[in-house]
Amino acid sequence: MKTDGKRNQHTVVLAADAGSYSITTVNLAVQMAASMKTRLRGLFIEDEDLLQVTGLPFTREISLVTARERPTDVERMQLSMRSVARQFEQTLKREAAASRIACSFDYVRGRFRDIGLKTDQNATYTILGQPVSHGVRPRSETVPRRILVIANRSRNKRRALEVLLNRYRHHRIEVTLVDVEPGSKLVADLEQLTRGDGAEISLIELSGERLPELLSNWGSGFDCAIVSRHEKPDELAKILKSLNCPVILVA
Amino acid sequence: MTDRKIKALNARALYQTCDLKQFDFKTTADLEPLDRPLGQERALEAIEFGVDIEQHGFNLFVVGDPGFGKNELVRQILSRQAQADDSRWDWCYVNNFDQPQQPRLLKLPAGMGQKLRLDMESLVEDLLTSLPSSFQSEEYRNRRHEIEQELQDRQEQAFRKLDHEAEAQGIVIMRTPSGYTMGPVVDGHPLDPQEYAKLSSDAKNRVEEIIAELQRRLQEIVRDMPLVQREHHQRIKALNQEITQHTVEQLIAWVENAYRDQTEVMEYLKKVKANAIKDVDAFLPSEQSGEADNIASRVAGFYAYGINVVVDNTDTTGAPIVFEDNPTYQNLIGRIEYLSQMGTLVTNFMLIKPGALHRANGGYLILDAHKLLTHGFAWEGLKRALKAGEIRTQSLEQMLSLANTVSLEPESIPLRVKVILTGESRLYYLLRGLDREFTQLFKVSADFARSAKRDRNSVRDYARLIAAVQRDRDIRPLERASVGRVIEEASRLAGDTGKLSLHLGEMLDLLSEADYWAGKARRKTIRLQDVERAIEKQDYRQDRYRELMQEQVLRGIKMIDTDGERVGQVNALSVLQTGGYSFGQASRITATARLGRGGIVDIEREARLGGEIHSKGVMILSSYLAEQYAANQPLPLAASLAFEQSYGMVDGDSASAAELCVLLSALGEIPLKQSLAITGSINQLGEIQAIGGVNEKIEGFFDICEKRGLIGGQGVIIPAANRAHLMLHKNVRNAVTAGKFHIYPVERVTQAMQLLSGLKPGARDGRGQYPKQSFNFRIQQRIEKLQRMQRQFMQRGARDENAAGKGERE
Repeated sequence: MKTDGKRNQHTVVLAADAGSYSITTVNLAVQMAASMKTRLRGLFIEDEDLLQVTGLPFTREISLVTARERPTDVERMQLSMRSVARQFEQTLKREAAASRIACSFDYVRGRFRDIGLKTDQNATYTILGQPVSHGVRPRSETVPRRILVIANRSRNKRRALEVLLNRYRHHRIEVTLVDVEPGSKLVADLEQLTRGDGAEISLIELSGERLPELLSNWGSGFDCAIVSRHEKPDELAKILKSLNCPVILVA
Repeated sequence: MTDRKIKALNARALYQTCDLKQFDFKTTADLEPLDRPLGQERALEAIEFGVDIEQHGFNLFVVGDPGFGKNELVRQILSRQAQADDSRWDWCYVNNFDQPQQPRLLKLPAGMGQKLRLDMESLVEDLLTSLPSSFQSEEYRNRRHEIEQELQDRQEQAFRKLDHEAEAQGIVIMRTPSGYTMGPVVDGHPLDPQEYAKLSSDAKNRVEEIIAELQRRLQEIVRDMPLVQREHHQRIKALNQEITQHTVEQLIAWVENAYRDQTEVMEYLKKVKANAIKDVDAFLPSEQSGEADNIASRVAGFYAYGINVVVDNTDTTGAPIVFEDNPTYQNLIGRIEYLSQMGTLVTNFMLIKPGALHRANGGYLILDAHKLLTHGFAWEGLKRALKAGEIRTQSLEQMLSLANTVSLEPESIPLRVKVILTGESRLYYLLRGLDREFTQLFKVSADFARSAKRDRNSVRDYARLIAAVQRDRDIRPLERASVGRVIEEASRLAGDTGKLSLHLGEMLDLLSEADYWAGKARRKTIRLQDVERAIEKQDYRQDRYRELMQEQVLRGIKMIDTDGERVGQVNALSVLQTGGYSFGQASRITATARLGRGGIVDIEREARLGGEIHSKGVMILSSYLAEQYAANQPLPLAASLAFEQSYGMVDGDSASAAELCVLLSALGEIPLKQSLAITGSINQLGEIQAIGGVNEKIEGFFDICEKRGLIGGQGVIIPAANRAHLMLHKNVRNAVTAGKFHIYPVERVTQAMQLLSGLKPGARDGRGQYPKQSFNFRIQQRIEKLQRMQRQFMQRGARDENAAGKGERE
């Protein structure tokens, strides 16, 4: 029972809005929760910034598929958001049930980044859905799956990394480690995690100074990022803005 | 017309024994086997000619009944001819990569078809292993990665640039559930409608202009996305083809080297190369089935690169000789099979199955004409192929335009084949008469003789033929007397003392059964008694129906008299056949005669139980009667003839002599001896002509007489011309020797009447009258009586008419 008590201290939260919800992100969150045998909380954020903009008299929506513009308003946008929220909730519950984990779902209004960063400060992992890359991103066998790990002293990175390596085990994997101290336990952990399973993993180590350049040029090239919740808020906001992939905020 | 006594035949005339003195061997083991067909010189020459000549349409029809060794002889000749001909080819169907519905044809030297098939299987296996390796190479990965990254970056940068420009102008681009939208931002926060309303008109205009411009550019970026995707796809495809081409060319080079002098194969390999490069994805493992050990099963799925060897001459020597025992349309022309997939019938070039014509191409095809003609469309299909000189594999549905499903149209195979049809003469003449194309396509006929002349040479050859069969079938050697008996039986089967039956099947059966009985008696050779026993048992096994018929007579159910005399009644003879067994039986024919003008009524004909030939016989006897007895006066006769207790068809004219005799008996009221039976046909001149089955007929009547007890005067009257056909059973011969049974050969009906009535025919005197003791006198008297009666009737009639006329006038 003591062990269970410890296990229940961990929680996984998945936060997404209408533009960042995807089944892939839900799967990642479920996988993460399942690996820790913990509960999963889904959080759909009705982005008030977006509602404000759609309330403006001249606002048009441009279709991602057809490139055509069409008028929109708050009411229509809310309907659209609630439709996405329903899909989110249904997918979350179905996937969680399939993996036999408990889950809950909440619908809140606010600014996505504020709520995403501030809600459930005690959650071990908060996964933020991010607007996916523009256009269709090639996902051939030959393209490696890229994981960005921005190092810090967070203790729970190993579990997140383990889940991601397992998730991409059929692909080549590129792990980019930023700001890793020499002799860091993270590198040793990585070597241990990949030993013997035949995975083709390459490791790139960069100093913290090169992070802005990396995000500017390659921010949209990652498949997932592991970032510490303990980063400074401004830094964290910049990182999140530069990335187009799900981000796992680690406590 | 003579009155001399008619002599019965002596026993020697009833059977042509085989002179054993002409044989200088003890058993057939001492004889050199006959190495050529006996008595079939004409057929042999025709077959050799037909097989050798190479002109179009000189196919062969071998005419003859079953059992005469047609197929065996044809095979022997073909085997010799085929050895000299080494122009064998393999024929293969391959995929037509441009038009899959029209498979291509490859003609290859013998044995090369299978080699190419195996080479292509190896090639596919190599492609399946080598291509994925090429695509997993570092070089390929890097180049593909570069392309993908470049295009991805181009898209991202376009958005990013627009995003930065928007931000610089105080505008935020936001994602909606289905696209993008834009709005003004102040201090990092989008303006709400109230804040926006507070802006000056100029500020609002400026914001809207900026947003309109940004939206236009965003639309351009979104519109470009499919083009970027297309470019991505094309560049990846080009890269894949470059990598594939290199690998495919390397792998296919060794196949090309092996077939460098085969133009058709080289053309095909060129297409294979192009298609493999184009269709490279098929060779790459999918995520689900990427295991290397799955290669073997995957090879089977690549049928498009397979070789369908429809004719494989790998292990054959000489020209092919094919005997198709079941010549259906499909078995001759080949067929296209279908597979059921998801409820739909599909096919491909690998499902083209060859027919006998494919296998026999370049050689010889032997077919049974009867089987060929009884299978729907097989004859038409064969003719079409022979006329066109090519095999076009087409289903019956296609040929008859009944099929609506998509099927194949395989390239036609050039046909060079000699077809040998075997069949009965009836079929041959039917085809000649009814099918114009037949004579154009089958210009040579080889007619197998049913019998050979029996002379000293042929008898010796027949003995050697027996020796050949004995060795070939590995049966015991036959002793000299046994050989003689088999030869005598051959004459009996031929139905002619001067002939030998060439029915090898029957001879073989007899030898096999004699061997069986010799074995039962633990003898090392076949003796005379073994042959006799075999013949006896053969007859016995088939004799049940004859016995039943005979029993009916002996019990008096079927009425046949064998002694005494009767007016208007005679014993005729006929032959019945049950399967291959024939036997004779006696039939009673009766006649009545009276005054009238109706001529002769054939009751069988009136009852529609008489055949045309039988009717002809009755008409002939009517003519004879009129000419003989009433040449210058009317014949006021009404007579009728009937086969008593006959309930089936009566045909043939072999009873016409009996019918004439019984008619004369009825007319002249002359009793006929019932101890005699008569067979023979007559002509208008009263001559008796030969008939068939004379041995069976005599034996049929003899058996009844013997069962009732031979009384001395019994016998059979036969046409004199049938003396040459007598090969009677031993018991008949013994009875004749003992004077208890007699065979009378006659040439004229008057002789038959003399025997039957015991009266001489007599000759007309100067007044045209016959002697009083002759049967002709009695007939003449009766006819004159009838004529007088007729005149009296006519005179009375005239008086009655006159009296009636006078009365009317008065």
